[in-house]
Amino acid sequence: MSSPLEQFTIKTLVPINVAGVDISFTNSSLWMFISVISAVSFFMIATSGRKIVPGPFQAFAENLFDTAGNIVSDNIGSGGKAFFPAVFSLFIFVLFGNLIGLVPGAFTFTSHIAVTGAMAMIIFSFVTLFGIFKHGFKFFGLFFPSGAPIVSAPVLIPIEIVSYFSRPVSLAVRLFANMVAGHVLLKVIAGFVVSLGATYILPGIVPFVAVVAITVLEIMVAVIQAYVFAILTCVYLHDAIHLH
Amino acid sequence: MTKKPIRQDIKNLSDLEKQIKNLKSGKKAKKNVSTSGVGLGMKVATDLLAGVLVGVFIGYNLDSYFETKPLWLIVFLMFGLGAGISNVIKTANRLEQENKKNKL
Repeated sequence: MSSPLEQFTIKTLVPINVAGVDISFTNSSLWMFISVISAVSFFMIATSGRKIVPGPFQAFAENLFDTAGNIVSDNIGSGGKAFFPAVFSLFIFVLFGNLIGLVPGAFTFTSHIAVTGAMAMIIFSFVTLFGIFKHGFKFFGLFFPSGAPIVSAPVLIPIEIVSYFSRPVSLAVRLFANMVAGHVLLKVIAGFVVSLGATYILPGIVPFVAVVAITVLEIMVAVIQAYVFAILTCVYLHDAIHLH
Repeated sequence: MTKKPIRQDIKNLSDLEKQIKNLKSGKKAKKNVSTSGVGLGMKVATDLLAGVLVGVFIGYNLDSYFETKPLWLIVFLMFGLGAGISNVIKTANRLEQENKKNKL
């Protein structure tokens, strides 16, 4: 029987090598393409009717749009409208990646820390550069909580700096760990169905019921993690725009 | 949430406007409450872990650069622990503020 970690292996589909750098088209890239294309086509189909009373697809698309809009307006506050397109695309990209990864046989690109880490680093560097660009030197006031006694600075400033750099790490690790844990759990318990049910059918039913229940749980986790990813992006943007 | 009567005695347009505003704010408050407990738990756990990880990473690299083996590792492990706890406190504070806003 195959290992539960086998589903995460990267396979090169089209080897591309530019100046010694391996930028091959892999199964991860393929599923990124698939999720982007399905997200775009979903929204094109859903919004093609543009009815006043929305059909099921349009209602779903409008709900997603509303959710992202609420995330932006609740967490960034004033001056957040400009970031709505970025946050919305990020939310939809992660959401579709998580959900399409749950289809049997599909590859979950959000289960690789290279992918989530790259997204987190892009967000982190953008937010930092934006903050410095907007506030200049005052941006570094973020590293010293207002109202704290000046004597505590040698302890508080390193703590705040480490805390600031821990943001992309926690953002990346959370999404990646959730996806890996969920998929490994599903695979392990699905393996029990085969090994228990091979001799007698009856004992195999127990893990089968568990797999069905965990699949529902994983769909929930996929949605929640995409939601949390978008919320935290907005929280970091809020800190960069409003400082304290 | 107590259900607001949709139509009280509407005497003029400003009353109607107030009514609409009331209904809208009620709808928004209801949506905010749906922050999930699972997501929050994961967030707190990884925040705590990430602080320590970054602290150890910085400390270890400073050590191998200056060749002062355990010194910076210990110092930045402490800072990392502090950062993790500060992350969690920040999350808790934000949550409390949100709850307060929803209650009003």
